[in-house]
Amino acid sequence: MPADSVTLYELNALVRSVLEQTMSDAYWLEAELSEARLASNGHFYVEFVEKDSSGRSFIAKARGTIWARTYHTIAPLFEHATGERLRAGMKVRVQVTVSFHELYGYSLNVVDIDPSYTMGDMARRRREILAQLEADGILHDNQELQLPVLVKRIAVVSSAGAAGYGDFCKQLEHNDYGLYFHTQLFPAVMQGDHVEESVLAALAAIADEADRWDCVVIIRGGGATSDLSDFDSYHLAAAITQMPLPVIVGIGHERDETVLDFVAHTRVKTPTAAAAFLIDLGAQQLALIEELQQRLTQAARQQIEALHFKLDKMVALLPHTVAMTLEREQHKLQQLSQRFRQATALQVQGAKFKLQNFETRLSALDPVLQLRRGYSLTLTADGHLVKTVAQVKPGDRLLTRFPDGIVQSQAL
Amino acid sequence: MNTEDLTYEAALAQLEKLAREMEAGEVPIDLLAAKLKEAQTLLAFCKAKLTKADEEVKKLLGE
Repeated sequence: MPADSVTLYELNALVRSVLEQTMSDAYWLEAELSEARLASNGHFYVEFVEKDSSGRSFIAKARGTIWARTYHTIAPLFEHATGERLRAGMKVRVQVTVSFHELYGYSLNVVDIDPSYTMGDMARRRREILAQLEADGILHDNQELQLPVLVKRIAVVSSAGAAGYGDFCKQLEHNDYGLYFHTQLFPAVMQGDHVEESVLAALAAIADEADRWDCVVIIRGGGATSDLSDFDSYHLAAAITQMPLPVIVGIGHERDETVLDFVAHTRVKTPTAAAAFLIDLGAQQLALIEELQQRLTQAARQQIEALHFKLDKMVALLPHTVAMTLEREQHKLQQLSQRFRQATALQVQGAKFKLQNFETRLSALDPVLQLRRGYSLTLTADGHLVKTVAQVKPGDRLLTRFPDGIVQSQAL
Repeated sequence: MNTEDLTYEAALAQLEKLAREMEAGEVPIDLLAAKLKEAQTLLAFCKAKLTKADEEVKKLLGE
């Protein structure tokens, strides 16, 4: 080998020693993970990338390693804080040392991670999605739908094997009120890369037969890490806003929320809470019916009671009413008989008066009275009253009547 | 009473109307029994809607 040549190993060793001498510090690096996998040896291998401002092409790339010991320390902290596992597509802020190995080349050793950066990035992504939905004017579309009064036909989007789905069905079936719910599962992948397309397909299938359902429930049981950012999708959120049925979201996370929580008609924490929500709706209706039943029977009872009361009162008043009526009639009779008596008395008196009058008039005609006044009556011998001279011839015997007797005489 | 084409909501509205009428004493006593019977039918219908599978659902389940 000529003196001015070096072996590859020597060159790499040179690079390594230069790097180790000049870049011995640890650096806080902000980058995106394009690969992330836990190897069977316990080490966690990643690939860091940086894209240009358009976000389409890579401008930098580096392999990275989280050695098993470090991984066991920082991974649980990261998962606890973010609710996410380290995975491809995620933006991270990690503390790295630069290393170069003669055989494996350039690599970054991760010594620490800052979960708040990732959380901030996820929150920013959510904000961007929500802002876009707002700008599209569809953010609250699903919330403006009204749940029907009767909610019993439920289209469920979940994965068949998920514990959350089983809990949901069990709880609906064995509710305390005897409520009946009809559920049908529209299976979807609820974790990983295919969440978006798979849930979108399930929603489309439900929308196609919307008249068969009262509402949609999207549920997934929560695990230690939920990878909620699978649901932070503009297309998924937009699809929910445009569903013709109210959508209830319960994707099982206690701490965090996804954009779906902001667009769904109703958000609940867990599948069990989703079931409780539906049962409560039914229970409210049952209570309403119970109340109506009570009002109706109460009103009918009151009306009948009022009628009884009225009748009782009438019966109680009856003797009094009868007595009053009798008294009134008696009084009327008395009055009548009095009027009758008075009328009779008046009539008798009138007759008496008339009689007296008649008597007076009659007495004026009495001849005895005329005789006493000085008049006298002349009669023929055979007793005829002499009223003219012509009746008397000379020699006739005449009788003259005075009040105190009769004188005989003879005409000359 | 025919409840075949009746919806739960319509039945509920009828019940509410009946309750108001009866509470206001607007139901003549001669009709009280008939109205009560109607109400009972509607109540039973509503309860069944909440607690039983509909014919349509039964058909779907039978498929």
